[in-house]
Amino acid sequence: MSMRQLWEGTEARNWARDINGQTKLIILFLYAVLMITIDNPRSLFILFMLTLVFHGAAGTSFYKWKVMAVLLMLGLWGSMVSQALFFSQIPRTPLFVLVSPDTPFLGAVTGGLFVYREGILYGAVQGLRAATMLSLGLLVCWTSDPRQLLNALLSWRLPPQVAFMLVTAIRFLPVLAAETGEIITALQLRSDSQRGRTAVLQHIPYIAKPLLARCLRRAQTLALSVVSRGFFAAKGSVARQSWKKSEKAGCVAFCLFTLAVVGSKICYVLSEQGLYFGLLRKVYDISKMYL
Amino acid sequence: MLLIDDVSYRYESREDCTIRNISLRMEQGEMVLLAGRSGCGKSTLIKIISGLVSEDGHGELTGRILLDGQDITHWSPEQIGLLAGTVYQSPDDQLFAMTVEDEAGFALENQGMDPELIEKEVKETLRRVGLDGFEKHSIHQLSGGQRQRLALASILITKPRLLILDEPVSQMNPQGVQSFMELLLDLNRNEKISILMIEHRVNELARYFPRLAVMKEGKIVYDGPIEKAWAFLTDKQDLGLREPQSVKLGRKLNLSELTSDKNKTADRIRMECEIENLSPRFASDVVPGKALVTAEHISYRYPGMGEDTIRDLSFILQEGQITALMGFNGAGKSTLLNMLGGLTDPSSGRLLLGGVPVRKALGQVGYLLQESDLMLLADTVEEELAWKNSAMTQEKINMILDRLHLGLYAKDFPPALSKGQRLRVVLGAMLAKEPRLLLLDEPTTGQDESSLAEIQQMLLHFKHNGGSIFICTHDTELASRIADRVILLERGKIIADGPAHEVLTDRYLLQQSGLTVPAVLDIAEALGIPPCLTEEEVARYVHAAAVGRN
Repeated sequence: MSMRQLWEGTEARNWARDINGQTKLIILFLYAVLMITIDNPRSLFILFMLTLVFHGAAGTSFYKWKVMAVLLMLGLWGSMVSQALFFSQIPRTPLFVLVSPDTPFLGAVTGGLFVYREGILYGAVQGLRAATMLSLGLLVCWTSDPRQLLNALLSWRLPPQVAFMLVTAIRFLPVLAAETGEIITALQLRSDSQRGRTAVLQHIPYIAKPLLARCLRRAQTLALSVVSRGFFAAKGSVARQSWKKSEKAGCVAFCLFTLAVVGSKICYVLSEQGLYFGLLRKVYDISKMYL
Repeated sequence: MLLIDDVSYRYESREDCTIRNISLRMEQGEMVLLAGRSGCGKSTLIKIISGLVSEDGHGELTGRILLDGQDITHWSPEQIGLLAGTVYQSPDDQLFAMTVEDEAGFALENQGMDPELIEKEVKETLRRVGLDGFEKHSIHQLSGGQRQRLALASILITKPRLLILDEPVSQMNPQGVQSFMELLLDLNRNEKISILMIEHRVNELARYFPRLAVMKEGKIVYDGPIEKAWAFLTDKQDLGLREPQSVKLGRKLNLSELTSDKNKTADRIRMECEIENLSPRFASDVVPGKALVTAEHISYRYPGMGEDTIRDLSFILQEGQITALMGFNGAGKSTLLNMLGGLTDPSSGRLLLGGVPVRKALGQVGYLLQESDLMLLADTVEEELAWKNSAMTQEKINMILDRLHLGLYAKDFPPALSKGQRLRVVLGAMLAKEPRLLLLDEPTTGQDESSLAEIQQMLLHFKHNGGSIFICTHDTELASRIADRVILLERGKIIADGPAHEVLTDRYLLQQSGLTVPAVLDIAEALGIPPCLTEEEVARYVHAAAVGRN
């Protein structure tokens, strides 16, 4: 699979591609709200796993799984390791001592370097939040045509210019991915050392400029092309894909669920601040255990 | 159909007008080729016709434009889009949707048409451009030519009366150009669609267009029948047009009539010139030199592919020689270049440069990619030449700038230069590293005549200084001018390898490799003289007209 195919949204199973753009964006938004609201690692993990189940059901290819796994692992590990080392809240329980405070020089400079248990958990929670949104975002990207999302944004009365700008990035992802590969090749070819001719990482800082120059040129042509095809003058264009009642109902149900979660969490936080109602004891229990 | 009446346009940021008092009239069903150097105002003229500059309100537009009898000077691009559609150079940049059917139906969706009708129209339009059956395909699964057809379909679906095409074939190989132009001719004949195409590769397109308009510095300097343009274009190399070979030959032989028609040129030569019966001379026979690259039974298979892309190739490239690698798209040319450039290793066999594996001798290889713009990395032309080149001194930079004719642009931002200048900068940066082997992938794509001449000069200079060049190209005219040796590749195998003159005069081999037969070869055959590839070769057998043009 080429870099370009990696970012294409046309190989997903039909049911996933047929879901209306509005449904996809609403689920994405509500999921983001849940991710901000929920702190419980187990619940976050379940929500995260659910996104992976969606990927499986949508027929995400093996190669895409591999790429996603790398991105997710990097995010999770990065978050956990950094928080494990630099967790500053109290209480914190050191699990290992990497640099003892008694160590000459380094110990004095750093005040000791420890791996904190609470830091690992905190990092895992933050990492899970990011990983879940990354996974779901990739799912939307890999199962959607830009026009699908564009229609969704337009039906929410977003100005066409803004909607176009938001969605264009998705249209260009496959091309950008392919071009990034070509620029790395170009950098290898222009390198002055034997090592530089095969290295990839050392060229990364130089990728932005040629890529940006090409993006500007491309974006201008695309804008001219869609303008002359009447995009910005579209008067209530008929979306080719109707928003099914079942999808609408699903969105409403998910929205109610999210509101319930947010409401429960607010009640729980208020109870901790002293605004406690005996009637809501069950809600406080659920919030404490799962949220 | 289209009347441009005394139109001038000045961008807000500029003092002078980019378009100056242009008048042009096109009838319904007419085909016009608009040519001129980069920066002469062609693209601005297209934007004016499409309503894309009057819309921004920042520039100053005077004169009027009538389309189908209606004054569209101040219409919005969307309104104009219903009458005139524009197809741009790169299909990748103008396609918006992910699948073929969605892209084709985009304009109708914007008009709020019923989905069932859209589906019907999409099917019909895709059939017209030869893409029926591709409805559900991803746009990225299509070849470059197919994507350009899709871009055309996405415009045709609104049934425009005028088609404006901005260098739509500049990235295509000869078969792609022919097939795309035949499609346009069909549309023009059967549906009476007027076509205005911008392109400076006049040599390849002259036979399709009865009328040529030439622009220079914002003005139209010629507008008339294409066959009468050649006389006008004599001594006007500054217009940057790439003329047909038969016209160049006629000019060289001082014929009284210049024409792009090969048979007419041959007739005219018979009438006006003296043909001498000399024995053939093969000046470009390959002189054996020191081996630089040795390929021994190399094969390459892409991961996941069922068969090899490169199949058991063996050849030797010699020092101080230009070798052209030619063949159909997908023959394995780029794969072979990538192996020589050290980007991929052969799956089997040995590839040696100067006796060591190519991977260990990468500093000795310069590789110019087809998308050379991606190789521009620095902020100024000077910096670009010295980028990652520790051996570079200011003196050397100045020398290279002079040779590239880029002295005036030393402090300019490279991506802002013209296409030809950008290519010369990258080529200059490659040559500055003094490689032993220079690899070039389609270096002449989209270049105008003067830029082409400068590139040729640079390559010959490099060769005369002992450098070796391996050039991948579809351009038989270029190959016949500079190559010592030609290798033809078909489905990963070498089908011909020999002196350029020998290979490029073999009509069967050229056709088998999808290459254009040079016009001069046909003319030489018609005249009964030995096979020739360049005007200079013909002139050896034919004495220039005594009377001829004034």
